[in-house]
Amino acid sequence: MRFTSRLHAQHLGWSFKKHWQTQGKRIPNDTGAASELEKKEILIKNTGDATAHDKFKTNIGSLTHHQWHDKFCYIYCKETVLLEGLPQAQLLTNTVKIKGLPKSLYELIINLKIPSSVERNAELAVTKSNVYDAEQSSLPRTRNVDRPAYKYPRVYGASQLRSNHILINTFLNECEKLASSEVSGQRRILDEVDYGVTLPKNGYRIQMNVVANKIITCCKTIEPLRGNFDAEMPDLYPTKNTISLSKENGYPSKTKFPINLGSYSHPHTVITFFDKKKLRNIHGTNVSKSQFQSRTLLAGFAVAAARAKQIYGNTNIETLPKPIVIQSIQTDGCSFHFGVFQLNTLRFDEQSKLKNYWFQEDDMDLYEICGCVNGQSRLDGYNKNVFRYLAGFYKNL
Amino acid sequence: MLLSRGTKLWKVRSVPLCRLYNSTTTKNALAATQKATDNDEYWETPQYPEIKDTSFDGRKKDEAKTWHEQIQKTPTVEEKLIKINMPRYYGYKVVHMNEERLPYNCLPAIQHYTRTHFEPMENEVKEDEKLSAFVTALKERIVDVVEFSHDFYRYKLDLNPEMDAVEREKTYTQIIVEQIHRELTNNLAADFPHLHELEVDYKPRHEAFWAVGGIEAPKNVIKSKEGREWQKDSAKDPVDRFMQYKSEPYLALRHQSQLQPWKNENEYTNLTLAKGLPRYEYDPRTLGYITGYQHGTNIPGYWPSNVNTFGFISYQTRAPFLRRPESYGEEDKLNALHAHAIQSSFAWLLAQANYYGFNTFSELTYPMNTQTILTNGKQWSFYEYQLNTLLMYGNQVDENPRVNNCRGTTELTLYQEIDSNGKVVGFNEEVLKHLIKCYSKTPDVRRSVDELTPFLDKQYKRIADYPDEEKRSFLDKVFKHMCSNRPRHLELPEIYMWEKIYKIDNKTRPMDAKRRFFELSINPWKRTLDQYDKVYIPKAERPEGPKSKNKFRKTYFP
Repeated sequence: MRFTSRLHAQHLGWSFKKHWQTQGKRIPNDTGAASELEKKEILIKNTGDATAHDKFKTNIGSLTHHQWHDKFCYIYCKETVLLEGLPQAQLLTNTVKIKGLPKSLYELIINLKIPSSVERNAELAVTKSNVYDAEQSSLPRTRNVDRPAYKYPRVYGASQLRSNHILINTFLNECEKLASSEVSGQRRILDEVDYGVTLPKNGYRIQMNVVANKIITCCKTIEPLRGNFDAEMPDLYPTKNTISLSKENGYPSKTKFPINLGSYSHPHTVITFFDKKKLRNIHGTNVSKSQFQSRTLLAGFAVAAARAKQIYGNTNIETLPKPIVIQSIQTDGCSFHFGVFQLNTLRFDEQSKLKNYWFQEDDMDLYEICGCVNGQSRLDGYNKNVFRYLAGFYKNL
Repeated sequence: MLLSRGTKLWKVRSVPLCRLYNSTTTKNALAATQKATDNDEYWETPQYPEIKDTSFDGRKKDEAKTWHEQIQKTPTVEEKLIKINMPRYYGYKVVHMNEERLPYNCLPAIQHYTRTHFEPMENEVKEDEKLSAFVTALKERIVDVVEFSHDFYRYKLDLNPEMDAVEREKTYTQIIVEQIHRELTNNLAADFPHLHELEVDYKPRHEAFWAVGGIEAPKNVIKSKEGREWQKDSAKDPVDRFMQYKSEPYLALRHQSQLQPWKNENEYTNLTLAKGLPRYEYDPRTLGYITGYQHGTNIPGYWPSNVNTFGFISYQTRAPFLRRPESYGEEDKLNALHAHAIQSSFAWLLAQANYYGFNTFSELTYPMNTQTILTNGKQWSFYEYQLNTLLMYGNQVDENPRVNNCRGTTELTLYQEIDSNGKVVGFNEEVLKHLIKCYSKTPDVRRSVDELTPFLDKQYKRIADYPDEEKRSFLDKVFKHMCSNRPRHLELPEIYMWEKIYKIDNKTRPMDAKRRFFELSINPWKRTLDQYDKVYIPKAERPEGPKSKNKFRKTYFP
């Protein structure tokens, strides 16, 4: 006797398929409930319509959210990308852009004497952070725009956040070697600090949240620039300058600012990291240069505004008695963007005559190629100037 | 036919005679080396190969010895590490060691696993003028730094109140350790220039892998050996266990030169001292250790081609101590601190030693030193460790006369408390003295390259030195893949429950085609690292042209 017929007597997969074919075609039976209700003249409504009502929504939010406000607020946070980039950031913060760094700072950077040993260590720091760190975490997926369905094997290595931290830590170590113990004694360095401030603007509220991946605090403030810098403000018409900011009712309105005690509470330089792979425009394109630069400005602004709130409290002060100067640096590990923000006023409407100042240099690339290529470490096109700028920023007061 | 049988008999009978003759002539070993003539082929006395032990145990020992020699002869650092892992595609069965798992009464076990002799160090530092001058200069700054760190920690805690106790301690300690390190280096560097040459690793990856002998065999091994006639007698012999340590210190400082050893060779080579070390012969699982399968990894925080590779100080966490029950008592807590200091220092130094060509089967030729600080920001303990030996496998636990040395203080309190105004109350200068003592030690032992790396190739020390690009990238890929311990593309084949019942225990399916691995006598655990389908080269990409028959990429496994 052949076993095949016995073995094929039942095919579970086929039975299931048939079962679902019949079950899938089922039509819900009329239970007669609707006609009964209609007889009693009770109105029947769709459940979706009831919950979609605006009134219904706000009620739920205000009941469940412990930081609910009746008035909405525009929120800027580290995941936000400004659609219009730098011009939008300028309009949001009432700031004029000035090309080039302040003269005193620029001269300090140019005249800085860096010994060759420190320069060599700075160069080694680049390979140390990109090649030699042994962390192996699963990195974000690599995607090919031309072949979106193609799945590449997951790469294991040091995350960008980690290699940026190592790079900046080593650079700052070298800066401290370069500076006298007096200068480094005046500074303190902190990691992953949250800053947040809520401000009124043109009748609505706007909240700035920034995570400073590294912040240098100091026991003295940086001297503000006297003199008038005038430049034309950009015009985004017909776009509103709050575009791409999220609109929320549930948000904490308390100002976030660390270090209330002691003399080291003055923020000096804020360093933020940017991850190209994680942050994109909502329509999927990569962040543009102007958008990248806008983040540097807003980091400087958020820290300065939070500091102003901390000093002057919630009094509606508009013109600051002493402007606050914050140096801001942003990097994705390769591109560095340096700028200086000076907060003169907390009034942000277009009518305000006094403006805040933003001095910035163009982006600088630290290297052309850096990584482990065919089992050997490789660093091509190393740019010495980046370390020089960082050392100058560290020393500046 | 008869004749041939006769010759056979003659041969058999004459063998013992010949043997007797041979043994008498080889007695004089010196004479054996003297040649009769100038001709190389002839010797006055016959030369015989070494007589090998052909018993089962003897052959096993011989195999192990050959393997260890092969590892020692492998040229580069990475290849040595791959070579150790070659026998297991799915990884070794290892005992996981880390700061999370410090069971009750673990000190003797860890001393056994790391072959460490521990001695207490005095809590008071001998004071001299220089030290007291540093203390007075630094005291105020350190107090200020502690207050600053605490203030920042309170801020972080306000933003993330849901952190659990261990996370809170880790956050606070990371801040305070980085601040204190920065303050000390900036202020002491003028007097101790070596502090400017330090390289700092933030939360580096410290992993180490080693074999330990002298632990009794687990039940399954005994049972399997008892099932074989020729292994019955040795069934209960101890077997080697592989240990895998993994941890992330807050900070690790490295320097290009080594620290001065504090024990000389006569002190650490002492068989009576070695035999007196505590032993924990039971299975590590009886204490609460867990086992798992993975490739053995040795990583001191960076990849082999890096510079500045000698440990100076590591700041280790003690946050998981909060999870230990209080009922263990104070004495056990102190012992667990010592145990953690021993395992972390040993593991870091072992990983460094691996990058100089030593490993658990090749003995160190010079001692290596480091300093370890265990802290939670408030409580501090200071340790010094000297690594003298790496051999713990097999019988080495009885035979190796060398021991590793560790000495350390008890817990010291940096401050009594921080009051509601954020001010430090009851600052303890003794901790500061210890810190200054640690930082002021100058690493000044320099050795030549040949002395540092006796078991590495003269020309190719690391795979990056190979001129062959294909070989380099192949080895780099295999090494990084092995170290990442990422899951294999296809998991280890499994015997399903129904198969165990209906196919193995009860042979109820005689008519089924035998296709599963256990029906084909394949042991998946025996799969070696190089047993996989080789990478196919498309015709267009073949280096010798499309007609070439070299269809697969070359492999360069050591």
